[in-house]
Amino acid sequence: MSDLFVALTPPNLLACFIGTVLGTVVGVLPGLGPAAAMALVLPLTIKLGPTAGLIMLAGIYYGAMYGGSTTSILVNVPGEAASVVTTIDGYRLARRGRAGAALAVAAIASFVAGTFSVVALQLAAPLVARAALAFGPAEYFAFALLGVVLLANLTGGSRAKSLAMVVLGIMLSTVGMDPLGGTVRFTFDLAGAQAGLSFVAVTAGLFGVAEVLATMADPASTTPVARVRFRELYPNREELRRSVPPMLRGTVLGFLVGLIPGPAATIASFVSYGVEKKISRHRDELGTGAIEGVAGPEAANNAAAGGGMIPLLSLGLPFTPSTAVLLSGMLLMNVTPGPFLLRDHPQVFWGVIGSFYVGNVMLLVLNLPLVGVFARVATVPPRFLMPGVLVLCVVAAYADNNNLFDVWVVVGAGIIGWAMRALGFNPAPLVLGLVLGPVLERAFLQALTIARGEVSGLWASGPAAVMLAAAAVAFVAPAVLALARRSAADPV
Amino acid sequence: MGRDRWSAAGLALLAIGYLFAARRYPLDTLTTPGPGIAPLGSGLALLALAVWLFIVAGSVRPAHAAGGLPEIRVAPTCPTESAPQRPGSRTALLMCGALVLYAGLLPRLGFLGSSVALVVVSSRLMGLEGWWRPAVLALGVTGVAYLLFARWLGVPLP
Amino acid sequence: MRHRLAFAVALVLAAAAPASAFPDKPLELTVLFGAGSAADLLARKLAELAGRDLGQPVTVVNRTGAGGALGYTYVKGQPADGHALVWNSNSISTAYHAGNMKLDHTAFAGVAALTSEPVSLAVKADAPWKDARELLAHARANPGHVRLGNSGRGSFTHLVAVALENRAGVKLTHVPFGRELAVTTVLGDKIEASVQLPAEIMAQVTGRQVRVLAVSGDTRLVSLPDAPTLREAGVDLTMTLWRGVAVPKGTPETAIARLERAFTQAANGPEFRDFAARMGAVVDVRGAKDFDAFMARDDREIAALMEQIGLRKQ
Repeated sequence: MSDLFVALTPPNLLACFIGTVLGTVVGVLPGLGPAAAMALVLPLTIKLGPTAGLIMLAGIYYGAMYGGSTTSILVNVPGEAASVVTTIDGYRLARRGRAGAALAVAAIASFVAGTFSVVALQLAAPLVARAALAFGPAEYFAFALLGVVLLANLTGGSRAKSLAMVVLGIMLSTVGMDPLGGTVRFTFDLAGAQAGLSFVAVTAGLFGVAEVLATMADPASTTPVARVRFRELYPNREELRRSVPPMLRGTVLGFLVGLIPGPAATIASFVSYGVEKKISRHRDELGTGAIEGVAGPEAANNAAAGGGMIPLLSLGLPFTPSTAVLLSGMLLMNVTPGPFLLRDHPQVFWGVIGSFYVGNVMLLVLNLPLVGVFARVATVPPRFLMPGVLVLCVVAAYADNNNLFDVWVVVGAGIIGWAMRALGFNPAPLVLGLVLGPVLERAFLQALTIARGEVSGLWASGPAAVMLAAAAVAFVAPAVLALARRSAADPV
Repeated sequence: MGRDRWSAAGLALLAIGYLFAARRYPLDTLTTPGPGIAPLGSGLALLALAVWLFIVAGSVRPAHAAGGLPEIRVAPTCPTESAPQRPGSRTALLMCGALVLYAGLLPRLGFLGSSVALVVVSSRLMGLEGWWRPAVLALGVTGVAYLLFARWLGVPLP
Repeated sequence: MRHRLAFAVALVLAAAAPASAFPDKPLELTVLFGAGSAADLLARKLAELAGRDLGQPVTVVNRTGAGGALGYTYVKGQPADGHALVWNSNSISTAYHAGNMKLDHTAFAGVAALTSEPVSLAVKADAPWKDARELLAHARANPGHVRLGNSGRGSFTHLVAVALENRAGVKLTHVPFGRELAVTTVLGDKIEASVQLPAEIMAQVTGRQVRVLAVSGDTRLVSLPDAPTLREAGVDLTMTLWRGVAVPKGTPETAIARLERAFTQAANGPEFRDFAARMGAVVDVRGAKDFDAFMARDDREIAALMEQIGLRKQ
């Protein structure tokens, strides 16, 4: 335990600082993921030795979650997949002149969640890791299906429309190589389409480019934000007070979802938003620029990043591309994660855990002053800002996979996104479908094969059966309630 | 026929086209399920939802008239009325054209050339007057993007 | 002014010794898999070492998609002057035969095959089967009962599992997974065994959560000294995943020779050997001359296996 203070030695502090700064940069810039940045600095970290090296890699990993919300809030372009939900209320807040408040709350939420998840990691890792293994394909399928049903109507409005958008997202996710490998689908002989529709390109288009087009179509909709005074850059007491409950809820949810394989941070942010939409005291304001819509999801994605460390450290199982790079780094430094990590390398284990505490403080200290700088971006008049947003979206789409086809995707998604808004469809459920589509398909097919073709294998286990039943109830309930209400309103 | 009914019809057409294109992916057996299952399932689901939307879209209006709960559609800052009828929509349509042109020219002109052009065109469309202000903005934006991504972060921009 | 001077110098050099002018600008090595994957890390290490020798940086760029087809197609579209390289592997055959691209191995000229990785057959640590013989005997007595998680339909690990079925005369149930999830599912007791590249399972082996019953190489792995080869376990099967560097066909011989020297030296050095061992790979160098014939032989083998599982489209 005293090894925790290993993180405070100057070289380790420096490694932590460099890592978190790099992570922030990668998080702020859309199109660049933490995994790519970690792979780039991996050779350097190996030379630093296991403790400092892993501290730096981990710093990039959780630092990226801090920066992800910046462009979401300022220009409606998600910096990371996990910050898509933050655009919904974050961008509206920025348009109302509360960009600073949103950015600061995002940083604080990240800090709270990051710190909580280390505590939980430290106390409960081996115990919780076992639970993660209980999730096989059948359970994962049930979980994802429940997610689709519960979260489809994330932004309110017509359920039919929202569900249609989710399914459209799932359909878009089937473009390219199928998730189990073997068959390339719906590419219509376009070589560039084989990689599928890049998530970064689709979100940059649906949110960023579409926003630019909407601004052009209706210049009155985005009056330039008035210059704000310094005191107004930061959240006021009311905003902070309202952020606390969603932050705490988001932290717990995010941590739990983080234990599950797959795009956990993204799913966690959606789950948190969905929960706030249902139970927050200010749920009616969500979607119009409520601080809860930033606090909850930003806490959730950071907590999920912390939760994702548990399967890695206690079982050696990386569930995301970033944790996979961390694992490679560990193997190259002759540190094997798993049940014996603590026994064989206490210095490394506690050093990394300790650096989480230090790193989260560093990130908070780093990000809060940046709020002042970034918040001014929101006050730039659209005619200067929007052309820059376009270039940012295009570069992000290309940088994701160095594939020119993705530039077509971002342009196409932008035009379609603009049309969708005009027709009253919200793009957020579509993104949910895009994330969960491959998860659903993969888990469904695997569950069938594992059950050797018995369809009952899908609900053979307790947790899977409960989740499937809940999904069925959640699907039917609104219709039944509406019917009941109608018959109560005008008795036959 | 209202806006939502047209949307429903469009979605139904999309679903049918998608299902049609999905025919060539095999379903295989239950033990070794094939790559055709997910497309079939999602295509049928969208078709069903389109029908649902079509029916709901017809019944919503009377509910409104009867003083039922007003339907919250999208976040208020989204333009809910059909944007393409406003005067600004011409500008936006021009921008769409410029974007398509940009994607086509990118491999030929390279990132720097085509992005400078894109920023000049879009800032003029946004109402930035004159020529040299858009030009300075274009050089600035493109230059920063190039330095940041290509130079420091090693993205091989075209 | 400086540019003009440099240009003049380059001209003189080009006239004097055309061979030594290569490489005259940074090289780009396209990796077909994501940043941070085992394939990517091996490529990055080699690029770093070879770049030092070549006097020009070798930049690694990830172009992922369609089992490698996207990256192969991209590199093939670049000028055949030796500056566009691809970190290739058996994926050139799997992607072609699966119908994902129009190019096959003949569209490229091999520079050198550099590493190989066997496939590991593993079960959970407390599984009832002591060794590969017992597992295969169980599979023979109960056809289809043993569920084997591979890393994707038509992936190399899947093909090895199919070849294992053929040679051992057993019937297995193949469950396609992505990367690490096959091991996760073994640990969760949902399937009996996994076929994975060693890098994907090394942590669980050292953590004593799984046991590797056999590896598919012709010798044991240094990093898994206790795991016998399949041949030792009585199955006549050797299959390894090779990786190497290739360039578009038509690249000048001199450039290929220069690249071959740089990359084989990099791979043979102690620094890379050590690096590769920790990633579960073996340095297995084959020069440009043998590489093309080797790819052709491997391609036929893969085509036959893909035919058998109904994934061969061309």
